Amino acid sequence: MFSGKPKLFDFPQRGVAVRFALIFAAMLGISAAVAAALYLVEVRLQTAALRNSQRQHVDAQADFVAADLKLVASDLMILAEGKTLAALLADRTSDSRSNLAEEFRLVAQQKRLYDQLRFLDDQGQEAVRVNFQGGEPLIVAENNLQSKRDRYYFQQTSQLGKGEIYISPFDLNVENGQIEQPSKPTIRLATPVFDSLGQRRGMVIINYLGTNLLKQLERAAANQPGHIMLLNSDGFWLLGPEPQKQWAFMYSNRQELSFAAEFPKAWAQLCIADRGQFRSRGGQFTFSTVYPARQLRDRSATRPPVAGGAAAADSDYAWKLVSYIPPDRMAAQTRPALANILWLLGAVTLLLGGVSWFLARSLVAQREARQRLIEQQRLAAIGAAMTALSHESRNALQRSQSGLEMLARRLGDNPQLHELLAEIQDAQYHLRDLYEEVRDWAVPVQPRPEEVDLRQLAQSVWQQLQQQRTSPGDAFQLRGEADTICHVDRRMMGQVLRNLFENALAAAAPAEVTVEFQDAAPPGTLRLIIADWGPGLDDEQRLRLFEPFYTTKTHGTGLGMAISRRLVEAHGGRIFLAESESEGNRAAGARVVIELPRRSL
Amino acid sequence: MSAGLKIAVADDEALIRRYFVDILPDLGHQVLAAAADGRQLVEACTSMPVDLVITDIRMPEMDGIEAAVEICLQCPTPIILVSGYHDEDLIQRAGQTHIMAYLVKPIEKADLATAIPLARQRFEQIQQLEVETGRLRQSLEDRKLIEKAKGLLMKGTGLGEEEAFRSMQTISNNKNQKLVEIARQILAAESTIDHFRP
Repeated sequence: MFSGKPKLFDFPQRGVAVRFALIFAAMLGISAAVAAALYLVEVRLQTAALRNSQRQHVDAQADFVAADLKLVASDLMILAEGKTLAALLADRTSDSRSNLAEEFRLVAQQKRLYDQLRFLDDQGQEAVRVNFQGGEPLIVAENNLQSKRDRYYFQQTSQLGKGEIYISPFDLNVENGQIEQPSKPTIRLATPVFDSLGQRRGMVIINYLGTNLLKQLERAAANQPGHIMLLNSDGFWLLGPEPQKQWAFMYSNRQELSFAAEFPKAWAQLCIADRGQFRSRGGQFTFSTVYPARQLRDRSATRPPVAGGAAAADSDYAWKLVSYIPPDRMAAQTRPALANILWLLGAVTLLLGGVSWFLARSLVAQREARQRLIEQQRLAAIGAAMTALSHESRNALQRSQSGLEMLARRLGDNPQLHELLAEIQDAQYHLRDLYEEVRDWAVPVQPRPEEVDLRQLAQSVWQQLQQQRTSPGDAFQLRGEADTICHVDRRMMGQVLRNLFENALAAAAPAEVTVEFQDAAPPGTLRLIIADWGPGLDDEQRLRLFEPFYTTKTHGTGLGMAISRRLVEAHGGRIFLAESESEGNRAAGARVVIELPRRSL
Repeated sequence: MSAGLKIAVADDEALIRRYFVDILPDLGHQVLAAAADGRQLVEACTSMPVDLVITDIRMPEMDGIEAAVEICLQCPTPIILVSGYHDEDLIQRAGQTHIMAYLVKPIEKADLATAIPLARQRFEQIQQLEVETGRLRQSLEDRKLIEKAKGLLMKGTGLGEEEAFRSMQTISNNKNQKLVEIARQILAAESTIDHFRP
């Protein structure tokens, strides 16, 4: 049906949309590129900062481990070179023995870091032994002392010179061939003991509880983004993120649970340098190597040079202190930056949207204003030319007309000559009509408004046209309840309606014309929809309908619709083509919409 | 009624003048004068009475509207203007005189065939209306005089209103004079008597 808001060919709006899209895309592209660059720089800076802090962290922890060992070593040396032990060596009485045991007990109690403190004689027999017992140091009774002659640490330490320290691998304490439960991560430090004659008399051994060291490392790493790991020379975890994978080398059934097996590439990189930083499988590794034996040897560097195969071999024993940031944590590091950038980009996008829309609109408005100005200038020039032409053309046409009529009187009754004359008269009429219409179109439009009922006007214009119509059967209908009283120029609006009706009548016989009146926005606007059920318009006709001098009729100037548009616009209204709509199975014809302020003038 | 009019035409173009001279007789009219400007037209109309004037507006010496005004001052005549101009000022000026039609060039025989009788008819209607207006004005004047005389009569003789009026009518019938004449005589007599009153 006819009701409802007509769909419009809103070309200016489409122009705005296209320009908006172009400007917005360009601006968005630039800002996205800038945002991406910012993000990359930010990520780089953050990564660099992270690498730095990781480096410092790992270095500090490596220093801490070394320092810790040095403290143990100094305790060891104090005990080994102290007067109490020397007294025992000089005179092995139960008193001197219990004096040493008491000294050992005291150290164990105060330090709380040593699981066992022992003195072994040169045969490997325990002479004094204190067990820490979880906080209650106990001097082991003489009959419970064992021979450790066959143990590797006895063998190794027996070959060291004075002042040299043996340091065992970091492992779990084994008692009577079984891994002690709960497990006790242990490092044994031992140093040979000589009497005043330089005779080798045995060794002092400290079982250092590594738990403390490991806890210390874990605590320090708690507020770091990475996991701290301590690996032994074979790539097994001494400390790692997964407790069940720690100390796997101690168990024959867990040999495959090593860092070296899980991260072979990273392990290879860890092995080729003492210190470094690299990325592998998306994670970040920072590592330092701790050489316990070397640290202790350096400590004793002030002493006479120390030789000895065992110590030299041990000096290659190393721990790798590694801080590992897994891929997901790495991503998490840069996520806040990404979020910030995205927020910023979002805000900028909104802003750019607004700016683009504004720019697009002003561009289109500017273009339209320019076109209007050009059109106005053109019309003014044509108007001036037409006004100048008007008088002379009318006089010339009058002369021509007069001549024709005078000639007709003198022709006699030669029908052929009269026929020719009629042709000239036709041409004369056509010329006259053309001039009049062009003049109409060119002269300035100055409406003289009065109260006009457009419904009545439409009716009377239709009736006038019907009087000239030769073919019968035309149908005319007025629809809509809107108030049709408008303050307009009666002659001009009559001309507009006449033009539209004439077009409809020319398009079909019998013709059917409907005029619907509606209220439109803004308030006080009257909308007229003039529809016919003729053949309608093709695309070209739709585009060029309001163009001056465009016509599909053999007669006529093609100014009718252009003039109509000027007249409507002079009233502050607009006229345009609506999308045609079909009603039932009838194809729709042309639908012209006029929107007119009821009082604009 | 409007057949066979005596028409004066004016146009600065010779061909157009010839056209009128040629065509108007076909419509049963007689062209008394064909003037080339407004001055000539006024002179022609002064020298002999015409039934209708057809004139161009823009002409040398005196334009068509000025000429029309002058002609109508001497003797009311219907005027048809024929012009190449079609602007509001001219139409406004044209409205002021006895201008019966305003035709925009180019015109043809058919235009004249309808415009001339129409102009003449409208002119005659206006003339008739003017005569009628004059007659009504006169009878209003007469009525006033009769009333005044009747008043005098009532005062002088002591007659009632009806009797005074009836006696004036009787005098009018007896003397075979109009009632207003009798009233005038009564008033004249009264003013003469007044003159001699102390």
